[in-house]
Amino acid sequence: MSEEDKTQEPPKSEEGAVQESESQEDKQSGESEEKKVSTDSVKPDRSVTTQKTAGAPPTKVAKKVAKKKGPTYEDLVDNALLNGLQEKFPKGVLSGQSFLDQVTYTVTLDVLYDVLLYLRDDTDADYDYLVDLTALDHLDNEERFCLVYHLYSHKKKSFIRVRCAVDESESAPSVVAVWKTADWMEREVYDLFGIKFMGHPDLKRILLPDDWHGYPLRKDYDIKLQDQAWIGKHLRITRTPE
Amino acid sequence: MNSIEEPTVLDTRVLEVNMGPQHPSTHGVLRVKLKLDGEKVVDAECIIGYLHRGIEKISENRSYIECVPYYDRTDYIAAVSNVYGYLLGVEKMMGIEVPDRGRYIRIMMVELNRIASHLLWLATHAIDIGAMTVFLYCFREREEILKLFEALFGARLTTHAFRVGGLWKDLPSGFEREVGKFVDEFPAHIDEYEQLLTENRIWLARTKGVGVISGEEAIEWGLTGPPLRGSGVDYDLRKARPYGGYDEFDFDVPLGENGDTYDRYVARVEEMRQSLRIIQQVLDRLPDGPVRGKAPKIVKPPVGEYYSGIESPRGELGYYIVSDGSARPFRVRIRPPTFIGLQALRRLVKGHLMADVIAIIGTLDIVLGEVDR
Repeated sequence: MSEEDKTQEPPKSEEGAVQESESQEDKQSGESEEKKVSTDSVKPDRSVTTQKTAGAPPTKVAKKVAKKKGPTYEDLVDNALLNGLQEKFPKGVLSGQSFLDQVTYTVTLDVLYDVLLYLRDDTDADYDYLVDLTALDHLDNEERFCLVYHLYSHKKKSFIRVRCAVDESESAPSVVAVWKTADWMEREVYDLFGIKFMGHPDLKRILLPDDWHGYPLRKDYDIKLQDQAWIGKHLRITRTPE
Repeated sequence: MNSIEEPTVLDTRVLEVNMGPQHPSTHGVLRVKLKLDGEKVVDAECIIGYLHRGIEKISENRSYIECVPYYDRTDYIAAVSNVYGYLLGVEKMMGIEVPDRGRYIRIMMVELNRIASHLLWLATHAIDIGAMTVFLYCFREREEILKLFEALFGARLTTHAFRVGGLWKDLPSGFEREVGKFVDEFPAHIDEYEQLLTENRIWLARTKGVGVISGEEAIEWGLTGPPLRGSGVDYDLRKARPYGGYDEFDFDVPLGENGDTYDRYVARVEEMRQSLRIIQQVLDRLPDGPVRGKAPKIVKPPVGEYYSGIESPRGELGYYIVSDGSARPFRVRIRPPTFIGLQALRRLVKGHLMADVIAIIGTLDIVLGEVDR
């Protein structure tokens, strides 16, 4: 939780103050400040968090704060798919959790490709449709990025999410051979986050120009930041650095 | 049109041709690098990103409520649906209940938007192929829907339709009557379009057997919406994973058989009729009461993540919202149906004539604002 707060700190200081002052009547407005200021209110929350995240990977730690009310992550009990996965990949499958009725399986990078292939081909799973592939940037986490796959099975009408932590220095396996639709999704993640996919047939930028420098959806890429060299070269706009 | 005899005597050389970015039939700034062997397409590479505005990055720097109008501007043809998908996700995370009247009006407006979007698609698809009259007719009816939007939302295109918890305000007086009038009159207009196209020889020649894709392959390529259903796969999120109360309404999901451009046309036209059915049911059952539920002024969803998927006119539109408990989203990922569908263009145009590329771009119903975000 504290890690998460640090990542969010810089943008909060500008506009967050304004928003918070607007919301004096609102009950939830003070909560984020409470967390930082009064340690008393944090303690009970924290005990719950540590209990729950005992077996969870580092990416999950930042994501979990049990609130007084509202939904929380709950570990799956007697989940057939989770049992099947854990049997097949005893070390690779870290957890299976449910949040607002959406199921998330967390796996390690070394088995990611095999797990996804298993999910597509195994008759018990049969996830033939890759809904979405994207990434998250947890700047201060030990393993910085988190790849998120959303899968759907047309036959079983079931929807799941697979997450996998990836470090900045690591590259992920490409799943274009598993689902063709992953092609542009992986290019987009590469374009905006800078995560490389091994085995991708044509990994290059897709939304930004080919010779752009920087990865805009990273948390340390400020919203006003631009590739000045590119702009100067292609648009002939030169600006004095602020 | 798609069967061409291989040249036997003359030797041809592969020619590279740029289609777009400024080309009227690419529906925006799409550039397709075509490799042509005579008139036959050998390969096609899409080059996109001309309209990239970094909407996902902007979202991370705005509050949950401030994000909403930006999503109008992704798919500007179906702005009402876009906002709807995002708000459903936020409301789910916050546990906000939308009152029945609000829910019903939302569904009515989203379905009207589906019709407006399909009308624009039909108009441009027809004019790309050469049917001028349909273009004018479709815009005539779309105008009626845009007038309704203007009356309720105050805008025709970038509507900022809904708010967290429901609607901004209730329907203006006489609005239901106007919608009822539209529902009564519109089926005759659909017949009119069908009279012009469905059995038209030129239309059949240009669309039958063009851009064929099987159901299995369509799933593999991630196609959703009418392009998937045209291949006979029964996947409509309103039925498969009902949201917002769609399970309370009766409607059918039209399916094609051959997975060609013609079947996708038929599916979309039938979808307009089904949307009318839903709107009629809303009008019949519209309850009284508030249109907006109790929602806090500052939206701070609990720490967690939620994928909210809806059936937009173009297919599965998903919002993957990740919250860190602050007033701004940690990440909002938009899963645009056309960005993912457009990559199948390469597969669909191979072996066809260059003129068919235009028909196939049309049948995918892309909006570049959404492709590039």
